[in-house]
This record gives sequence, structure tokens and C-alpha cells, in this order.
Amino acid sequence: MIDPAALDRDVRVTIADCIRERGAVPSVAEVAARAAASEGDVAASFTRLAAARTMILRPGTGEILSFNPFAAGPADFQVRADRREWTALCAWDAFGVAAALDADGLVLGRCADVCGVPLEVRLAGDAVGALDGVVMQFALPARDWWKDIVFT
Amino acid sequence: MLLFRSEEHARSWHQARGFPDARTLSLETGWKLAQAWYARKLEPDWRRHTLEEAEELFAALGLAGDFWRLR
Repeated sequence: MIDPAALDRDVRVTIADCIRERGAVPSVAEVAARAAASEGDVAASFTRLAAARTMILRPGTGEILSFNPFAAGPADFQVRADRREWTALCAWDAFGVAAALDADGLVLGRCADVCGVPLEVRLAGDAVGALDGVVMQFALPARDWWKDIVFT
Repeated sequence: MLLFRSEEHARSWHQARGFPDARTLSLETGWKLAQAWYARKLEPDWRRHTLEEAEELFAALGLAGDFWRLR
């Protein structure tokens, strides 16, 4: 008999291990192989972890869109940190990649306004380097972030 | 959460899209927020912040007021 809470912990730790070791967010199949669990059980665990807001699933696939802050696949923000290239869904997550890796980072994105100018942010220790005036913006109040987390 | 070239560009964006309550943050505050929020995400004993912890975290960074309330 599977203990869902224990499996969810194993799955979460396995995802984190994959990120640290391979620099990539894993699939259901990879987690199942590494955790010695069935793909069905891992898929169910992914659903529970997403419901618990540990991560976001790609609609219609059951695969991970983002084990926040780490996006799986192409996304609007790129991050160079810990000698690897990463992607992130938003600016907060892009900064979070460096934070989760406890590393300095270079965040690459664009101004979200019509100008679309490329922007770079260097994160080094407690220091932040960027063009003067660059800011982050939260469009929605905090209580609404998870109503549409991909937009947020 | 998006990046903008300047406060003016951020204001233009949220006014055009109808988000009158949008808030801008300095990159320094955003970095501190990311560090506080995500530092332990890859650790085996990670757990989500409770609502109370998250609000305390926001307040410690000066992010106060209704916009930052989670309840």
C-alpha cells in the first residue's frame, strides 16, 4: 500500500536531485525510474504536489511546467547560474533560481512593455547590477497570484 | 512578475492592461524576496511557507498593506 505523503516527499526530493545533478526539471518517466515507483503513481503524486502549490503542471500533459522557480523548457526568462543555463516563468522565479542554487546569477529578460528592450540583471552575493531604473512589477495582489499562477 | 526598463514603462504597461493596483519593486527588494522565498526549495526538508510566515516575510521587506495580504 502506497503512503501518498511519503511518495510525494520522495518525488519532490527526486525532482530536486535531478535539478541539482542534471540541471533540468525531470519528466514523470525519469522520476518514476529514479524513485522506483510506477509512472501512474508518480503522475498522481505530481497532481497532488501541484494542488499543494509545490509546482505547476503543463496543461493537458501531467508533466512539470515549473518546479518553481525552475521552469521546464523554454520560458521568458533565462538564468545563468552555477555553471548552467536555466529558464524561469517570471522575474521573481528567475531571481529565485540563483537563490535556490545559492549561487550568483545573470538573469536575461526583456522589458514587458511595448519596447521589449533586452534587460540583464546580475545577482552577486547581496549586490544587484542592472541598468539604472529597471524595476519588477506585480500586476495582481498577493491573494490572487494562484488564481492564475502562469499569468502571475 | 515582470521586468521593466523603468517605472514609466511599468506604469504604461499596467495602465494599458487595466491593473491599477500593480506594484513595482526595486531589483534589490526583488532579490531579497527571491532569496527569502526560494532559498530552501531544493532541500529535502523544504515546506511551503504558511500564510502567516509569508506575510511576515513580506512585511520584513517593507511589503505592507492590502496588496500584500494573503488572507
